[in-house]
Amino acid sequence: MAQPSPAPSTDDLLVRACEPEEWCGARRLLLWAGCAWFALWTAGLGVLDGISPAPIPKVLGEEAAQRAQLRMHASWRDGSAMALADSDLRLRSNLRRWIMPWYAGALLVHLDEGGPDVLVGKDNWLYLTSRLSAGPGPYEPITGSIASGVFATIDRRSSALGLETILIPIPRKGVIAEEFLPDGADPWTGFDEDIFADLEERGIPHIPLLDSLRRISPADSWFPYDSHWSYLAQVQAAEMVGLAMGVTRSAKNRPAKIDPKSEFRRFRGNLNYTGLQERSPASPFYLPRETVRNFELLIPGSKKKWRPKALKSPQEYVLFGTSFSKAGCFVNHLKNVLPMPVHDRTKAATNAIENMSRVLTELQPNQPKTVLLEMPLFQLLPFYEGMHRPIMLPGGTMGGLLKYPAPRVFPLDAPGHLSSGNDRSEVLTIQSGALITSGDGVAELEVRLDASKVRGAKVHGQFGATQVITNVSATWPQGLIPMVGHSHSKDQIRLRLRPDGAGDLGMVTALDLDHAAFPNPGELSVDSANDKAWTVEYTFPEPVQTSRHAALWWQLERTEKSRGQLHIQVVPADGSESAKGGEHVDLGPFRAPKQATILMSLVRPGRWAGIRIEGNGSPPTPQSLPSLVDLPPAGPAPALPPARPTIPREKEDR
Amino acid sequence: MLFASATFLYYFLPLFLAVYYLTPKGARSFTLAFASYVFYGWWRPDFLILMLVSTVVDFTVGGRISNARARGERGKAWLLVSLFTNLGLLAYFKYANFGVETLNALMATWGAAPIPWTKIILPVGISFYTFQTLSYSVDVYRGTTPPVARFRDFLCYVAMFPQLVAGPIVRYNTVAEQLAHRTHTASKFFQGVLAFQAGFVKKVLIADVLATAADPAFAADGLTTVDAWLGALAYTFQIYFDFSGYSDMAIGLGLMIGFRMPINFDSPYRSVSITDFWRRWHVSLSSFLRDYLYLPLGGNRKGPLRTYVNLATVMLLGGLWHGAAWTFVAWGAYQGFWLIVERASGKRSFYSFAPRFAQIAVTFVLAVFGWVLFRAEGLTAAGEVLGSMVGLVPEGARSMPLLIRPIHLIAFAVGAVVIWGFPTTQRLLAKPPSWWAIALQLLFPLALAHMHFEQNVPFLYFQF
Repeated sequence: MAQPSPAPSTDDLLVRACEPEEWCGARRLLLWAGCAWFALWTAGLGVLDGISPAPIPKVLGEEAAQRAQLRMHASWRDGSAMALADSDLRLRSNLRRWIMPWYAGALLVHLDEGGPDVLVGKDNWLYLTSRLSAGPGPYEPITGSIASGVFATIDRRSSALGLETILIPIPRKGVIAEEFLPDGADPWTGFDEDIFADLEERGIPHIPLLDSLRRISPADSWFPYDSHWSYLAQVQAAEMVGLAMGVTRSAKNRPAKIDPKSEFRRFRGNLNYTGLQERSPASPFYLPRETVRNFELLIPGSKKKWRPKALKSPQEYVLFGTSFSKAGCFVNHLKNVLPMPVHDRTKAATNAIENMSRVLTELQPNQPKTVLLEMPLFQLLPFYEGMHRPIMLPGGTMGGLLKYPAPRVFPLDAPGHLSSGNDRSEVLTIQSGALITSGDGVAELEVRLDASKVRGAKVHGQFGATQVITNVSATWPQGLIPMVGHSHSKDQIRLRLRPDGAGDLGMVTALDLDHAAFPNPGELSVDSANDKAWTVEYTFPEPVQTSRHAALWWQLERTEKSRGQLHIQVVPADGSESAKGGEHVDLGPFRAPKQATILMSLVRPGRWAGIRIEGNGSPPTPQSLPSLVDLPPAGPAPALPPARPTIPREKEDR
Repeated sequence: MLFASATFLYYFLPLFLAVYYLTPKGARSFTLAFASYVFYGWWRPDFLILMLVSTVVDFTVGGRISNARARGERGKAWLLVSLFTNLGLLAYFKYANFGVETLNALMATWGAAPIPWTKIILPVGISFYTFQTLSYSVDVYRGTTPPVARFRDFLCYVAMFPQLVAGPIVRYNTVAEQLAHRTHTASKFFQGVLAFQAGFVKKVLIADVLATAADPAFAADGLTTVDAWLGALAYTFQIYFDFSGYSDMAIGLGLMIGFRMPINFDSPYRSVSITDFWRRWHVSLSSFLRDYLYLPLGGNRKGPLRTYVNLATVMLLGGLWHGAAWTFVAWGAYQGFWLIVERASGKRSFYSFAPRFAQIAVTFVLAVFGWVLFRAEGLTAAGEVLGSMVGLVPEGARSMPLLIRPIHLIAFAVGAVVIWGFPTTQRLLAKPPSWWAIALQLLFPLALAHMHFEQNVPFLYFQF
């Protein structure tokens, strides 16, 4: 150790404290008033919030369920309970209720500052930035094709079930009202346009709302304060749907030119995401400065006047809509417009892709029905990270073959083809999962831990610390790229796929297996006659039918760290010898740490009775029961559906 | 717990102050220590054990070294215990992930199996409290400070919540006297209120606002030259107002309970050279590194070459102290490079011939380039931003029209006035002008409203 440095002079290092004499006379008054003012804004607010807390804004649907789940799993040990308490105390604040809306309103009026997620357009309309382009780089047309591939998939599958699906893609506000946005705010308007063009080209039945809505004033179509349709647009869109389906006609007495002042009552909206409540004194701040045109169009004076007369149709429809609230939403109007029975399956807070899965799971096969499927297109934006993440149940849900609660599948940039020159990136929060590819190809997979949680912990080609998956190659043809993490808590990870041109990985989705909750009905037997060889057999409660692709998922715990060999056989249900008829996978040296997740892929359809695993070394202790999960279909670009009657285009008199 | 949160401002702070001033004077340090453990435990209670271990070890080590010295020995073995414990904690919790991940990346390139590893959570503030306890043991070993007599005083010193998680790094000898005897006056309390309000306003109204410009810029895949500069400048302002704001709040809270804490910033963006910058930026860290690393390495006493090596070593380790990532190492190397260049030319910058305002401007620009290394997600990302700043715009980069909004321009303008037109908070505090005190009373509710308007943005230095 070197010579000691002289002790620092305390007065040189420390802040100088004032002497009491420096606060005399009027300054003394300032001192006490300042202390009292500080106490008022801290202790005073605390007492007030304790005695009469502001009501916590209500949340519905999925968000409410997420919050309930968070509360259920909150723990004082890991700080999650305290984080929830922080959030609650923040929401209970009377300052949030009284002062903040005025402050937010002033920011909006004077600085066009609408809050972290709100953008003020040129016409003083508000847009949710999450529904505009926030993605890297300019729009790539392939992204639109990928998204429309989602529709093709649903169309193909529903056809197989004997369903006729009519898609109702909802274009984004920013696409219709593009001229109101700041320049360059949404360079992805081509996304919506390409989807509609692609649907037309593929011959997928859909309602061409994009062109129709562009013919009416954009300013009349949406609420000025968020991205929901106005009442007028809802009515008109419902009419368009009816007209396109040839089952209704527009009201004859409808005026050629809308006069909002005579036809609609005033209505004040609320902007919940900035804390403004309905009928709050701050509401006027959120209204556009030019209020007449933009705002007085929401509630019609007479609903009858706007209800179109219907044509008769014997056909029943099942309607899958997406909405937080059924009251006043588009699908509600659609029910009024369509003359035939419409079974409304609209579910609060469901999203577009989840809705697609619901179509396939909730409707019984071989019961022909026509399905109307509402699809808000913003939810298909690859970088959309709103509350409703695109969630897609795996393909196994199609035939109703999967008997277990399904794991979540995140479509990477929406399911579709990943080909050369088309980088993708996605942020997921998973612990154990897999990438599912339907084609052969070579890609570089970059996995990054979320920088906000782990500063600088950028990991290339690696997930957790157990699987190196850089340069994923044809080693994983049409199957699974396992990603297994072993952290105690889930990590938010960023995936970036960079195909190098050697192939086409086809449809790529990320599967969150840890999310799945599997039941425990089967029997598991472990035969370890000696400590060198062992067999684990598991019988599914009932045979599992899989289509072309399926994954086996199993969590194990090693009793010791010795290495061993695992041989996994999936036993066919038809009684044939597993060695001959079953899928046989040799996983090779089992180099798992204490906790391991086995993922393997089956590449042929079958009906399976169970699995048999033989190994040597110490037998693992199963942490879960093995599960077979059917996966989205593999193969090249989705085939065009067979020719079917197309939906007639909108009548010219519209 | 964040200072800029409803929990702290409306509940914890008032309750703590009430209990603190109701406690008899002799037991106030204990009250403070208890409150500090609650404050820290609010984040994760289980990590309180780490802090307690560090506290107990160094309290014991200090006493043992003192006993050894009484016997005529040096007590080096006990110092090694402190070094091993504190640096061991730091190495494991802060750098183990980084080491294993780096090793695994290397092994992957060699085709070897990676080392199985469970990611370790970084305890908030570990860099600060381990440095404090370590400095205490070293000072006792050096004989520059007597060992603390009462455990509760040491407990209070280590855990003191105002500066626990993001500094300033308080050395024991600077507060030893205050731990035993400190005065509580209304003038000191109000001084603390003013410092706290000033820091809160800086943090919420400037740093957090500019964070909404800096974050998207550093998250973008390709930036134009203008956007790259805007993003870099936004972060340059953000980190200053965020960190100096926190320091002001810590100083203010200290004054409210009778403590005078060390200053941490002295108008760093008015520096005329990088050497000058490091006398003004994070003063408590730079003085710590000087006294506990640079001087023990030999300082400038062993010739120019050794001086340069020492400077480089100190800055590299200083960079690594901020976080376990290559970007921080690069940032430390960058700062070290300029310090060496200036040392080689007699502690003067290569632009010292220019007028003072030009020297300040050039130093500021050099600092901006440094902050890009500091902020970027990785070296590649840093290279991309730096490249865009000098005109090497990547193909496909597009302008981000929403990057700078009116509110950002106001924050920039106000920030610039505060940086280049105002005295530092501690200088204003020395004799607070009435206009400043009144202005803060008006800005404080505004900042509270903005705190509810925006999402909570954690202090940047929490992660270090």
